Amino acid sequence: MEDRIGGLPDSLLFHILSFLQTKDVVATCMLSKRWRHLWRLPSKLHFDDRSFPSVEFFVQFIDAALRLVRLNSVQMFVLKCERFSVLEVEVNVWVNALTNYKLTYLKLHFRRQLILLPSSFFIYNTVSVLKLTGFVLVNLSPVDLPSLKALHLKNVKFSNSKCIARLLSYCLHLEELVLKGLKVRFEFEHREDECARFEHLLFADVPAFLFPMEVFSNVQFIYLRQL
Amino acid sequence: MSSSVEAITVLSSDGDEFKITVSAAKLSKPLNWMLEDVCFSDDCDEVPTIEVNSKTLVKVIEYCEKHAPRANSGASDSDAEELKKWDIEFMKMDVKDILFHILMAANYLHMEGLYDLACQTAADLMKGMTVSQIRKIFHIKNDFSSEEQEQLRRQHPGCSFD
Repeated sequence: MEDRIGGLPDSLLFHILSFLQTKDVVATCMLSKRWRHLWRLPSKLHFDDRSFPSVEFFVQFIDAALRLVRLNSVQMFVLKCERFSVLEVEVNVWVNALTNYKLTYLKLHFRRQLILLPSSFFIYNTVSVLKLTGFVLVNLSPVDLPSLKALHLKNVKFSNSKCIARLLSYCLHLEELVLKGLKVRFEFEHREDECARFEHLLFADVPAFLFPMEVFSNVQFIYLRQL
Repeated sequence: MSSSVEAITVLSSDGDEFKITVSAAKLSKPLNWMLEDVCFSDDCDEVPTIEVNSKTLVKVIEYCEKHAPRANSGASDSDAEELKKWDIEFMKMDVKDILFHILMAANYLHMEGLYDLACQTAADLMKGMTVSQIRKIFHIKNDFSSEEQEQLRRQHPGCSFD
């Protein structure tokens, strides 16, 4: 039986690899010479700690992957920590490694800890989908998310409500907004200039009373939750 | 042939004739172009050939006919659920034999949905498998010399050849 999959064009093999976690993608370099270098040009990096026996191995693996792959080709980055707690400094190094590249999808998920986001985190020119779970945001320096279409914040703690209002006021093209399990002290004055105007928003799943209802004038689906 | 035609006839690479409805053919850009040619040209006797073998073309057309109503009109979420289930059943096929051809056909016919589905199916076969298991599934020959294997082992201490 001939090796037919090896005869497929690179673009097709890259697309197959894009459905796998990075751990499985890297292992394909062992298959044959045809596969040896494909893993270095991933369109997606996907790390899930449930596939790793220890946090040390998990962290080492991510460090090595970020060093060895061509980050230019990466469009999607997914980091899921369900089992382990990782050091904040590690997360910052990983996130910083990505800021200069053309990411369109960024998902960072921490289940067992809250990670302090650097105040300059929200600068991604090309990101259209941003999903964050398990973070603390204390300060917010300039925000630049001109391409953002979908924002999901789950279990995120804000130092004050102005912080989240300001963040959202920069997300002008948002079509999808999901806010769950927010922790925010309320001192909300609905000042015109600070309140987001979601003119393109189609889907919202947000705590009730966080925004004046006017901002949702164009929404097609809205789910208001208890905070 | 008039532009109100509802189905066109195509030839597979094996020379067999197949009928495909116009709405189903619209799922593929090249088929769509072919369709416009067939519908609007004066010389309609020629049956276009698609470089896909008969066995694969049957599957591709089956996929197109199933997905056409939703692609052309949009449908409810329950339809989407049902279609997902159908896709899973549809992809339960002999890997060695036909998945490879479906991948090639979806690529050649620019069918985004089928392309994603087939690539996802191939990836699912690799998920969590060892290197030697993947080689076995796809008949990949290990063409590394023992020195190269040793080098790869050193570079990737976490991965295994077995």
